[in-house]
Amino acid sequence: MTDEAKLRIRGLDLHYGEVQALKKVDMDIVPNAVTAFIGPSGCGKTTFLKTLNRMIDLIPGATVTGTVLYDGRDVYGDYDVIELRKRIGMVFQKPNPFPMSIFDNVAYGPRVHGMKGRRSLEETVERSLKRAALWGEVSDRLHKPALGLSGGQQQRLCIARLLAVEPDVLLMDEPSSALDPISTAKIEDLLEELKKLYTIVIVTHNMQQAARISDRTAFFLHGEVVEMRSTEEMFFKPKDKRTEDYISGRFG
Amino acid sequence: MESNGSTENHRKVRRMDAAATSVLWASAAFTIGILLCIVGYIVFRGLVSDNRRSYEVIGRGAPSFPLPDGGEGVVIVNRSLRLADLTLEDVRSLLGGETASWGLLSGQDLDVVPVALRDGQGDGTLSFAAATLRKDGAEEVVRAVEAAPGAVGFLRADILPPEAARRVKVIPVRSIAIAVDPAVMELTDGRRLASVDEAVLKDLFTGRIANWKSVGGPDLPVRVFRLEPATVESRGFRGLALDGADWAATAAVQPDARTLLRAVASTPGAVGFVPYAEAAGNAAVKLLPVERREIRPNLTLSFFLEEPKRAGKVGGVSTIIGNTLLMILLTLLMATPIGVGAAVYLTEYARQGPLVRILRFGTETLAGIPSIIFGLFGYIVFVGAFHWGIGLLSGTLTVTMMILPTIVRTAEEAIKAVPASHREGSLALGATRWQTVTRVVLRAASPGILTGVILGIGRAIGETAALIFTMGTDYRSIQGLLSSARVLSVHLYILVKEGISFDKAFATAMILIVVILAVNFTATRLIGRMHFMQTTGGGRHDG
Repeated sequence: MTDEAKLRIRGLDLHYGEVQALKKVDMDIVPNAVTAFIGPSGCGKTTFLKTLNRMIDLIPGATVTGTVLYDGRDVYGDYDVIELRKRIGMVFQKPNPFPMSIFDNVAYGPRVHGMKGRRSLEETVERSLKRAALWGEVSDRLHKPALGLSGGQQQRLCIARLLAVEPDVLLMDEPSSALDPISTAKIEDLLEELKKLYTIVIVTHNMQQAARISDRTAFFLHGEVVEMRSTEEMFFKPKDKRTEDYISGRFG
Repeated sequence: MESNGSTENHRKVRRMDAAATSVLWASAAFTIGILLCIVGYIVFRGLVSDNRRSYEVIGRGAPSFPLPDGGEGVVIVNRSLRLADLTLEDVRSLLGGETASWGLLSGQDLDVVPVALRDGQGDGTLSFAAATLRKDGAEEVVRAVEAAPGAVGFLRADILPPEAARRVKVIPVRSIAIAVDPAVMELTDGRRLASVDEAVLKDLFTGRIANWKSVGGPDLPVRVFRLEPATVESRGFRGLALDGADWAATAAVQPDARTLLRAVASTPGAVGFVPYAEAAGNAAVKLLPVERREIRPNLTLSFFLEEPKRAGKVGGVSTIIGNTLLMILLTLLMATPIGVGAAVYLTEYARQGPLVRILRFGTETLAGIPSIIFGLFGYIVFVGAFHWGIGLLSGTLTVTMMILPTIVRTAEEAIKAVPASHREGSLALGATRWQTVTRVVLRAASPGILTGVILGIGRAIGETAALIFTMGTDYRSIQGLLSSARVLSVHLYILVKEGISFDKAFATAMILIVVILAVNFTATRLIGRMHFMQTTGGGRHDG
């Protein structure tokens, strides 16, 4: 398993100034599967997610030590951050479509990476919206404001926007926490489809969601990875006492 | 007891609430009322010129005027001239070649082209020295007047071709003067009768005013003299000045003008009317000016389209509008990129430390500095040190300096208001910082930035103090970057300061208001269109 890891993290420490947010994290993330991070608020799972495509760089005072190898190359070494984020994209907790039309939102990524020409952009937009299972709902109003979509549609639009730059890994930070159950179900169905093509890492507060959609689960606590195993094992036979406590709801 | 107290308290609170509401309503109504009054007054004065003017020569209600030989004369002018009437004096100097331009009479910058007939068709009182004399009859005069824009012609009424009124304008000539005993207009008790209103004139001649004291003159009884009812003056005067009312019973009838003037000169408190030609130059009587209220359209299309002439007394403001728009355009071309660039740097790039705080405090202070100080700076630096002289370049740069802080501050606020999630979303797609700023942040902030630009335009359009010493007062069209150029606000200032014309000043003020309205309207539409993508675009579609 470890040989084919998409992302290999070794000895990762992260400090926010004086405070240590991640402690010696080691992890392998396998391709074409959904990896879920669970854990109580403030345990460092979102922080960890952000280190994978260096979105953590945007936070002033955050310092990272250790290695993150993506396809064998060190993300914090000579990796071009633009190229990295193009390959490892991110979907945020709250849908954040740009204040543009639906079309321009999806075409944004390809455009900034130099794609020109109406035809190729249109093809990319259509393909991405279809992969994000949104095409049927918006194909007749591509040039309407993206902010006119419902929350669930907006989140799928953000996924489509990400797919348009043809990434390899999708990082998702609680993508359905701001959505209603029906929209959540749609996103979950979508992830099931997307994992055939992409490597997916998802942070979730919702243990049931992790259980439903993920293949492997990591449990974070106080900046440490307590346990990481296949989801089935994790939920039915947790090895660590703390994992069991968390899963059975003893953390509150 | 306790429930009673609480009801009482409720009532008190509700009363306070009602009182507060009415105070707020009153403040709002007061503010809006005052503003409406100001704008309304300027718009009214801009559109309508309403002046009291006094004339020594008054009309007699007919287009023709009497000639000394008993005939009638008419004055015709080219249709392009904007004239209500002329005095006999004006006609004399127009046809005599003494008045070269229509400027002071019609407000138009046209040369006077006198046209008149020779031999016996004129009369002794008019001097036709410079007139183009025509032999071949009235038709030729009419044709000549029709052809030249500034032409003025004189004909005897009996030979005026009947269809001439369609081809040229027949201008009524005021030819009657009011002669009074000089004692009436003398300074007595610190008061002096300088002129009378048209209505007073009627009251004088119908006998309703018995003593000059009641119209501001000396304590003298009014003695009315009039000409024979059969004379043209008498008929015309009664029609015009008396509205057809009857003469005063005490009015003494005189057979001719000369006798009447003699009578007026020798009778204390006398007043009478005579042909102006008879009274002019007669030192034994004084001519009493008559005030007339003149209501005319003020801001006309020609004011927009014509160039200013004679210090702005004549013509319009077309070149000044052009200068103003050019100044605004150049200012925006300089101020917007620099201002937005500075705002982007301060918000997106600079480390938010004490230095940025000081810069921000500085821009805030600069935004509130009086514009005359920027003018002084521009005068010392651009005009003086850089040797650019007073002109477009110095003026534009000064105004640019002046509006930069406004644009920087509003752009900063607009950029800061763009949610961080937009930036994250863009960066997470592998966009560079520059791409994120230009394609997402500035786009989302554009309505706010535009608001700042509009505020800047507003300040620039209204700017006077800073421009007088840096951009100059030449009202001709701009010739080059270094040429002096007058803008609307400076024009307005000079019109009032030099006492050139209040009517023109109000018309200019009106144009300023219209320009600002137009800018605001366009900008609102633009902002609306920009906002469209930032809204739901009407109607959510849930799925």
